[in-house]
Amino acid sequence: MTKDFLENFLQYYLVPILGLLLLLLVIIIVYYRLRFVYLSYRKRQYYTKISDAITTLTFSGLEGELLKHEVAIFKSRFPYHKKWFKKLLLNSLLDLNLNLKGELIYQIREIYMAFDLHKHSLQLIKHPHWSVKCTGINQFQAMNFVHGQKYIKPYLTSKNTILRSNAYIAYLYLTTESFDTLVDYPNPLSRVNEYKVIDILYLKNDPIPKNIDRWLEAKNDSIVILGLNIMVFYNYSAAPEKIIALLNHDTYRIREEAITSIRELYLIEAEEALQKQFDMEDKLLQIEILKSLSVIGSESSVLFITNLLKTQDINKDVKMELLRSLKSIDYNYYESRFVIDLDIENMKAHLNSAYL
Amino acid sequence: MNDFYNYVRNFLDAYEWIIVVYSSLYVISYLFFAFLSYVAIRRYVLMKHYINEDVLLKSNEAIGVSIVAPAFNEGATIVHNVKSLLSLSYPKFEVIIINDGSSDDTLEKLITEFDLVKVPFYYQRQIDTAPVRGHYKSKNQVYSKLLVVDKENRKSKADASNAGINSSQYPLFLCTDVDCILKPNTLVKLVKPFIETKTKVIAAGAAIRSSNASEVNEGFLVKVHYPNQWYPMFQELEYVRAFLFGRMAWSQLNSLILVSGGLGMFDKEVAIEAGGYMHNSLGEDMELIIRMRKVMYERKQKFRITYIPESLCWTEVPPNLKILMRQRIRWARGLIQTLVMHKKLFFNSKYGKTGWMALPYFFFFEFLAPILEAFGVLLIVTGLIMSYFYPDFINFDFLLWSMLFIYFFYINITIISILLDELLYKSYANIRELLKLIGMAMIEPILYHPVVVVAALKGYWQFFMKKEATWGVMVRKGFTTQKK
Repeated sequence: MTKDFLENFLQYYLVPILGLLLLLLVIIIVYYRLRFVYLSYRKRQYYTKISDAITTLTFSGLEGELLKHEVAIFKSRFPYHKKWFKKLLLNSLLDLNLNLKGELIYQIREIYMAFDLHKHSLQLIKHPHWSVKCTGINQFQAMNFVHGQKYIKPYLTSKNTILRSNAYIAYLYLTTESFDTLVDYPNPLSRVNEYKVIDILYLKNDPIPKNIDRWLEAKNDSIVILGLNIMVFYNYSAAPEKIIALLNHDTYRIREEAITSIRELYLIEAEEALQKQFDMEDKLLQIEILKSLSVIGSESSVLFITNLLKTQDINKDVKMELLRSLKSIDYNYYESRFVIDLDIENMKAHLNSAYL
Repeated sequence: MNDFYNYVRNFLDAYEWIIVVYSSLYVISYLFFAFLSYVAIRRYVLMKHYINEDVLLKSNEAIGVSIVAPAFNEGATIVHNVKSLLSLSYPKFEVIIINDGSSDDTLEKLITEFDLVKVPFYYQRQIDTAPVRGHYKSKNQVYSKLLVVDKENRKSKADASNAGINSSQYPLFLCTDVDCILKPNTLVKLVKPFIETKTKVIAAGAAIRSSNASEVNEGFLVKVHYPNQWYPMFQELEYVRAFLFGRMAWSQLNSLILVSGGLGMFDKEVAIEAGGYMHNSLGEDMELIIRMRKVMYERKQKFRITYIPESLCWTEVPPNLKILMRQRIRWARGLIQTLVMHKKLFFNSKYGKTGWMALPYFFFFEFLAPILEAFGVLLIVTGLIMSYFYPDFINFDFLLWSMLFIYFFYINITIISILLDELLYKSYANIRELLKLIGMAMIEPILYHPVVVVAALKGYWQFFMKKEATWGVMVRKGFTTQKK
């Protein structure tokens, strides 16, 4: 490659291309900003009017033909055929839905259907791109559009993790079936999904799955964790043996959740098992065990803790938690001992502070 | 004279080819980064469908986060800044302010405003720090999330951050500067990467922007504006480019070795095992990440360090040349110090992408670039002098087209970053500010870039001369009133 070739290449190709690219990029930036300003203006123009109209419709309690008639009037007053307007209307409905409770949310669903917005959501679900499908699915869920289940069902087995997760959550929300079937769910769930399932339980206020005990025997670790979380959520304490057995599970996270569940469900029969497990766990789980013992512990735990406090090479965080547990189980014992150990005195001062 | 001519001529020819190869690699790597950034940003945007943030905000199971914010002589703004931090939206967090031996009234203001009392906090020095004089908690339940650590100054922010980490109670900690203004949903946004995947995430960062001209009222950001002073204007450009371009690409490669000290969330257990921030390092944020990576490689455990392409933090950037130079000299020293400190990781298969990709890149393209640039300028000047005696000494056409190419390439990269920002977040108030930003991008390579190169060279020089390192004082203007 000679210098002349390079020079020509720069002069006739690279520099002009980069110059044109620069010009194009600047035009795109300016265009997008102007478009944004224009759309924002239009949205501002209509948003209040839409909100007012939707609120009036919601509280009017109109149904059937009367509602359709009102909707037709609304459509004639606004540029309803425009995509951006439909989007604006849908967002208004979703916002309103979030702020209302009780029977009114069913009225919002009626309005959603009267505007044929469910067809718009369905179009989104049928879109080839998974993220657009997710938007449609979320709209069905938010609007509590139970008829939408059949359109969501095909995505319960999607290979795309996020689409599958959203479809499953929406399906759980919309279905009238109990949560019992979840026990056979084969895929691992991230923490995000655990939060989502618990949120659905909270929103639906359904009874606890009848087969919840079986969840703790599931091969899918995520279902076991979810089972424990659900038991805590419903304050279900009828499966203590199974929960205690999970203290020996191979999966760290399951052991952690089992320890927490024992505390939350106040399973006093787990005291001995927790003490036995203590030495086999790392610092973090040891602290969790002590937190649980501080809730369910008896005199046996006082002895257990006292012995541990005599150990020389104990981790400071664990030592602190030991004292915290002791204080919780037997305050008098905690106050009357360890006066000669400066370290323990300092920890006790910390624990006794009203502000810490 | 002929011998001298030939000698210089040959040297210049050889150097030209070195630069052609170097520049080509640079351009290729930037194009590669552009593609990776696009993939990473797209992935992030699509991931927003995964979970509604409201679900996280009302969860009882949310992972706790400790916000660690050192303060040194921040009396002018401390009260508003702490209130701003306390107002963040998240179900489980604490705010730890470390008064790093301030000589002004920082601590007094905190005590008075938040009704603080000294408490017998059991302080564990898991990471070595200067002596801690005491811990303070509020008597007012409204401020129960606030913990103030008063410590002796050790002339480094790192040491103060370490004292905060030692005093923290939650498994994740967010390091920030007390003068930084965080978006209300910063914690939710930064926690998300830690819970979205099964792979252990050890750190997460997000974009930082300049708050110099933004409207701020009592520590709360009212409206973002493009800065109106020269140096902050140029720095804003740098920030947009670095965060949306470079860091997103590195994040996509899972090879990030830098999460800004201004805003980064970390796994406390790994950070402590790594030894926390190194108090005598000038690039302590980069240095910590490298050591955290080392810990994970040694554990043979899969991990991720993630960047999110959202501006979550606004901070005052150096407003004038003097402070800017001091900051950049420190950064340059920090870079070379960190590279030297971790030289054993270079091309060491045990340290995966860190050893084979990230560190070599930082050496060849971050550390060497200012040296080669300065040397190139020197040779051009020599060539111009020589061409006075030998008219055909310099091929002016070639020089012109090469420089134009570099100029256009550089600007295009900046403009693409601005476009990305515009498409995703529309950070700037109006089209006038956007046009100003574009205009600044055009003159940045000529007016601002040389300053950065000079600062880097000065930093290297001071490092090799072992000149004593200082942090200097960044004078805060304060955000007590809303700007008109």
